This record gives sequence, structure tokens and C-alpha cells, in this order.
Amino acid sequence: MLLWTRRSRALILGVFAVVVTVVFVAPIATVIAAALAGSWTGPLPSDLGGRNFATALSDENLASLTVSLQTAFVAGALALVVGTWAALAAREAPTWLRRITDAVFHLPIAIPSVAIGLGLLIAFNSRPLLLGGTKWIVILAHTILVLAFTFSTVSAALDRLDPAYRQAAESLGAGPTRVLLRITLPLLLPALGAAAGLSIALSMGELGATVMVYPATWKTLPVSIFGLTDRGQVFLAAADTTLLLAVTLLALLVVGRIRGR
Amino acid sequence: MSGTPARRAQPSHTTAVRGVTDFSAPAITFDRVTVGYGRGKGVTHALIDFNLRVGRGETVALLGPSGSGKSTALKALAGFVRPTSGSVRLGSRDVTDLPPAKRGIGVVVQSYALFPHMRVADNVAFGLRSQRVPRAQIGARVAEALDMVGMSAYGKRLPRELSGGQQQRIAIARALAIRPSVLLLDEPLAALDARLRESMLGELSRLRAALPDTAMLYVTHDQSEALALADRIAVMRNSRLADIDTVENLWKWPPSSFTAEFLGGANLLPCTVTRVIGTSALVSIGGVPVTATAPQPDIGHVEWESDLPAFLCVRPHAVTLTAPGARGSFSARIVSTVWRGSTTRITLAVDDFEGVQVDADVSGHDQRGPGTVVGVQFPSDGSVLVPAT
Amino acid sequence: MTATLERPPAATAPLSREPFRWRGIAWTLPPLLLVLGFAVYPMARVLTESLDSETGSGLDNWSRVLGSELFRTALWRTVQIAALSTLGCVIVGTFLALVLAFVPFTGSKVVGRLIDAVLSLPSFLITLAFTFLYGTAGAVNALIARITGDADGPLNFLGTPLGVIAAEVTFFTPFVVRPLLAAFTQIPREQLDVAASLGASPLRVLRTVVMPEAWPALLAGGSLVLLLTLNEFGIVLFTGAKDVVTLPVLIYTRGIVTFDLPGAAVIATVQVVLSLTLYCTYRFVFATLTGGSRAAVDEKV
Repeated sequence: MLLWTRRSRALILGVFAVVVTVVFVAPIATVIAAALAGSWTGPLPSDLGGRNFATALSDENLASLTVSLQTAFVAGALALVVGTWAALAAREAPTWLRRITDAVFHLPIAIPSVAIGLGLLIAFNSRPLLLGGTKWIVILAHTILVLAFTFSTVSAALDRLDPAYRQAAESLGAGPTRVLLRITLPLLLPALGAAAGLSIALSMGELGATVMVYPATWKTLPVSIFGLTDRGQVFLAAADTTLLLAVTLLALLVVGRIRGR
Repeated sequence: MSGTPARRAQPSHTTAVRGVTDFSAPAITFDRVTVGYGRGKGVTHALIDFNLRVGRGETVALLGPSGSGKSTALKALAGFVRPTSGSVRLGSRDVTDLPPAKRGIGVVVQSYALFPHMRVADNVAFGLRSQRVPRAQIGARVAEALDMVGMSAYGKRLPRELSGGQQQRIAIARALAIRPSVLLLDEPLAALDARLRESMLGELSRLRAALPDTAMLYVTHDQSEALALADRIAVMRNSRLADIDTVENLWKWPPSSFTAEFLGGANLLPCTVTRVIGTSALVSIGGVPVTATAPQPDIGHVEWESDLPAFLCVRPHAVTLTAPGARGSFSARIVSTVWRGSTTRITLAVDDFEGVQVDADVSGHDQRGPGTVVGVQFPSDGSVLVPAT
Repeated sequence: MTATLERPPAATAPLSREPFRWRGIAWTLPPLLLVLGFAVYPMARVLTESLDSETGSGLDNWSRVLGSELFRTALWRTVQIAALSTLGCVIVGTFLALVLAFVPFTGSKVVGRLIDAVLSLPSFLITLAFTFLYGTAGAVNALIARITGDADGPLNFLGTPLGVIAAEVTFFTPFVVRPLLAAFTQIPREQLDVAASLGASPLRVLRTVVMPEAWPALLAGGSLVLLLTLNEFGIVLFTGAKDVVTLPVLIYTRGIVTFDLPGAAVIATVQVVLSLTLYCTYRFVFATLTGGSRAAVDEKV
């Protein structure tokens, strides 16, 4: 289409391969390699073994992992419900309300996560709504951050949905509830699954807002990892990060399985 | 050409239909329906002042080019679009403000809109379940609907496993399962290839016969579908109803040049009316006198004024080619020929008519080529006077 | 789905006889109020906190913070890093998108998925990896040292803004690749083939046929990356270098480490204003370039 000679194609693809390897593959591979290493002073890691992982799966670190997972699933579920509700309702609302909803729900993308964390810290550290010091402030922070993406994904899918389905269903006598439950939501299932997956991935890796609001009793994995690097325990940090990646991937697969064929 | 062109009275509701139609409570009534989009200065009208009555068991085709408003009329009837003014009635009920779910109409759209996540049987049963038909009866009704379209064995399939024509039939079955009194079809055959379309036309004819009490409104831009299926055709143009009449009347005696061209392809030769007596007419094309027919409609009377411009509508298959100089023929020269297998379309320049071009359909065996001089005849009963609108 | 045809959403007729859409409003309000209460209200509190002071005028905090050397350095550093990272992302991203779209090779789908997968990763992972690879005691340095025979390797950029920029380019390039790739795949192949048959070299085809179609996507992707790099926290935090301080990190140190909440609130307000302005510009530009994403389409027939 663009390159017609073997040579030019080989040259460009070569450069491409180098770029992809250096930019994308290397970091991930490095972290995994470091996770398996005892020390790394030369070009290659040495002292390979699963020791880091054993430590990573020990009590305190494991607690962080479960905390992250719980936060991700609860925040993801909340964000999915609220985001889908808002996306569906905004479609039926007058244009001005739809625009406002769109703008408000997209705000968290425009604001740094640290600022959101600060805001939650200031706003909910006192009566009437005292969330500071509990796990709920962390879950709230994650939900808000992820809400923008679920709303966006579901809205986009709703826009692409052929209106003929709804019209056909209505002409056959279906009321609004039936249309929603039997036609709209089933047809949205792929988008809902994608939104859920994205939410979980983003929540698992969230650091900015979490580090501002977390109580000592609810330490997520990224926060633990930061603590480790701060103290210089980089290999353990690498192991924890690899664990984070693996568990995120697993959670995504599970969600993909749940949403069906 | 100066002066007002000859005009023919336009009946808004034609009562002449093959057989007797009961109009005491027409199945469908459009009463001055207008649909507009936008506000203030930016208003565009998709449908303007649309009036139509469809009797019980009658099939009316809404025929017209894209943008003529035919789909909008259908959507207004189904309830997918609200009229800006006017009212829509089903039987004696005013349904203008009623949501689609409560109208009891069957709709088949161009894209079929089969629910992809449900099996065929569930698709067909959807309307029955929505209208709370007792569980025990649903199975039988679904089977009946599938049987009507010849898809009884496909109940367990998913829509994506079916071909276009099969999906088409399931869409029809789904609409028929709820036993509607009115069936709306919005360009249902447009997505099928030519051969499939032919066979589906036959199927739809058969269905019509099997459902004598169901009124049908059939939207299409294809005149052959309209000719094949409809009792009456409503020709639409620029968001308005242009002409409405039985298929036969529109074909033989088109009331306007637009309808003449849209419905069946025609030669429209500009002429001047010399004199009209009864239904015989004498016109002049390029100074040469030609006899023709000037039909009167079933209602009202048309006055053809002399010396005013009109069109002579001659269907290509009515044009006869003879040897040059034959009695009653005009001299013409062949400009081009297109062989179509069983017929040949010959384009002629009629010298006597100052070179006006005419299309003629002749037998496929005709071997004459461009440049040949021939005689051309326009039999008076195949030449119809059409007002110059 | 086989025979479904894509249709734009139908415009509804004007409200001359339509009942006021109470249902739509009623259903939209609950989630909207939730977000207003839990997201917008806290941000308003940040603003008020920034004005909170024991000595009377709320603007004390503002003048104190805005006047400080640290703040101004951080502001400049933030903008500098964001701009350079965006530039890097655009260059690398355009190259990757071009190859993925126009130079087909087996496995291009897999590479595309890989690039997409990076979006789901935490950003600090990149910095961590860089420490092992490009740090002063890292693998690349060790390799070069072994080759040249020096005691140390030459690479010493992780603690500098360059390190952060490199990490951000790595992480945010996919945000440019995605919209560009979508735009490129919409260009009909035949246009490129015909251009080549008329004698155009690949570079000319790129310049005259491909890039004009891709400007909106490039602009959209670029402004998104600018916004994200401006607000990036994890990468900078993990660098831990003293002379690489950006505004988000400053908010963190002020708020949590030194517990100066009003000061942190001031910085946060500045940051929010900055990114909101950028975001609105991004939406505006995007909307004008694509003719409005939510414009109702008039159905003619």
C-alpha cells in the first residue's frame, strides 16, 4: 500500500521492531526479570529464583493485594452501575441536561488524581460524612476516577446502537422496562464488559488519589510498592509489581468470562 | 412556452379501486400530517400536509425518490416520529399521541432489526410476550407465524446464522405473529440482490392473498415492487403527496410528467394541444400533427385548452418501427442500440419532430444499427396526453 | 451481526405537542447529584481551603505559595516536561501508527493489542523498569561499561527531567497511536494505490494523501496526552529526584508530608484551573474539527 520494495519494507519494519521492543517490551520484561532476581549489577540479572515472590505473597504484601482487589471490584461495580444508569438516562433527557451530565461525568479525566484525593481528604474528614480513616474514602476515590471511563464507554456504545432494535421492540408492544431489560442491556453487554475490565485495571494501578487518602489499615498494592522503592527494596517492589500485573490480567480474564461468549 | 399548462383535476382520495372497498372505517387515516425538524428559521419539513386513507385489507404503496417523505409517513404511523401537526388514526382510534407499543401495528424495516442475541423463535415470540399472550398459546402462535413464511424448521437458529432472505422472512413472521390489523413495510427488499428480490416479491404476493383483512403500507423507491404488490400507489415528491390512484390508472394515464417518468419509464415528447374532442386528441409536435388519447379521470373532468404546452407520454414498448415511408409513420434515424437479450432498446431521433429523441423497445432479434433510417409509429391508444407539470 | 445497517440516531420532531420529558430528567438526576456531591463538592472545598487562613485574609496562602521559588520551579518543570513528552509521544506514536496501518506484517494485530495493553498498566511500572535498565547501576550502563572498559556507564539521566520524559513517552504513546490508527484505517486503500500508480513516492503519498486526513486525530491525541502528562503523578513520584518536582508531586508533599493543607489546596487549585482550561480547549477543538460529536442527524426520508 505504501512501501513497494522489499528493501524499504524490511528497513522500516526493522526500525519498528526496535522501537516496539525498546519502548514497550523492555519495561515489562525488565520488571518481570527483576522480580525473579536476587541482584542485578551486570547487564543481566543474577541470582534468579522465586524468593521475591515468596516474600511478596507473605502476610503484609498479600494483605495489600487483597485490599487492592476488593477496592477494584467494589469501585468497579459502583462505577459501572452509576455510569450505566447515567448514560441510559441521559439519552432520554433533554439536550441541555445531557450536555451537563456529559461534562460533569467527564470532569475526573481533566483533574489530576492527586487533586481529587486532596478534595476528598478535605471534604470528608469531618461530620456529617466522616469517611476519612476508613476504607470507604479509598473506594470512593477510585469510583470517582473510574466513573468517567465507564460513562464514556457505555455512552459511546449506546450511540452506536441501531435505533431500529428499539423501534422494532416498541412496535411489537414492549414497554420501556422490557425494552431496557430484554433488548438494550443485552445488546450493551460487550461494552459493559469492556467498561468493567477497564475499571478494574485502572483501579488496580491507581496511586495519585489513593496516596492522599489511604488509612494505615487500607493500604493498596501500589502504595505498598511505593513504600518499598522508597526504602530501596527494589527487587521486592518488582515482584509486587509483577504480581499486580498478573492479578490484573487474571481479573480481566474472569470478567471477560463472566460477560459471556 | 407561455401560459398555464393544461392541468388535470387531482382527486385527493380516489375511490375507484378494483373490487369494492369499505371506507366506512378506513384501516389507516392520515389527516393533514406534517413532520418538521429543527426550530425557527432552521425548520426542514420531511412531510407536508399528507392525507391518505387506506381501507381494510388494502395495500397502498408509497412510491418516490429518496427524500420524498415516504419513510417519514410510515414512521409517523408507527409512532417512531411525532407529527408537528395533523393526526393519525387507526380504524376509528386517534393514535397520534399513543406510544408505538400501544398501536398494534406490525413493522418490517430494511435492516430487519432482528434481535441478534435471541434465537429465531424468541424473536418471533417477543411481541406475544410483550403483549402478555398466555404462555400456553405462544408456542402455537410462533409456529403459525413461522409456517406462514416457510421457516418452520429454523426456530432454534440465531439471526446471524441466516441469509438475508431468511432474515427477511423472520422479520415478517415476527410482525405477523401479533396479528396486526396493519402491516408496515419500509423498503423491505432493498437489501436483497435482484434474484432474491424477485422470489421475495412472489412470497409477499402470496402473503397478501393469505391475509385479506390486513391493510398494508409499503414504502419503496422501486416501481416494479409497487406495481407488483399494490392496489393503489401514492406517488410522493418533495415531502408531499403528488399523485394517488390505482396501479392501472397511474400506469395507463399518468396524471403528471413526474409520475409518468417515475412509474415505468416513458418517452415524454413536448407537444402543443391542437384540439381535444371527448377522449381523442390532436396534438402538434414540431408542427407535425399526431393523434393521441386524452383520458378523463373517474371523478371530475379535465379541460384541455388549445395551444397550450403538454407532454405526449409514449411507453417504449408501444413505439412501433416500420420501413421508412410507411403509411402513418414518421421519419427517424437510429442513434444508438442497446441489446438486452430478449429486447433491444433503440434510441431514435425523429427528423419530422425536429430531432426529438425517442426510446423504443423492440425484439432482441432486431439487427438494425446506428444511422439506419426507419419509420416510427405512435399508435394513438398507446400515446397519452400528460399535463406539463 | 450480519445484515444490520448502521443508521444515525433519528432526530425527534420539535416539542410542539410533546409532553415535557419529566421521566428523562427524573432518571438522570440521581447519578448526576451523586457525582456533584462526591466529586464537584470536594473540589469546591479545595478552593475554600486554599482561602482558609488564621490571620484574616484568605489570599495569604495564595501569595505565600505563588511567591515561593519552589512553586514556580515546579510549575515551569511541569509544563516543560508535559510539552516535551507530548512532542515525543506524537513523533513515536505517528511512526508506530503509520507502520501498523500501512505496512502490513503478520502479527500486527498482536502488536496492536500489546500497545493497547500498556494503557491498563500502572504508570510507575515504567519508572521502576527504567531504574533497572537505564539507572546508573542499571543493565545498559553495565553493558556499555563492559564494552568500553570504563568503571561506570555514561547514562545518568533518570534523576533528571529527561528520565521522566522518557518514561512518559513510553507510557503515553499508545494514547496517540489509538486515534491515529483509527483515522488511518479509514483511509481507503485505493487512494494510496492510485497515488503510487501516478508516480508519487511513499513520502509524498504520506504528506499529501495520508496526513491531511489525520490532522484531527493527531490533534485530539496530542492534546489528550498533553493533559495527561500535565497531571501525571506516579512516574514522577517514583523517580524520587530532588530536582524533578512537578505540581502533582508538590501537592502530595505539601499535603501529606508537611501537612500544609491550605498550601496544598492552592497548588491543587492552580493545577485544576490549568488542566480544566486545557480540557475545554481539547473538547472544543475536537468538536469543531469533527463537526460535533453529538450533533443530531437529520433523517431526510
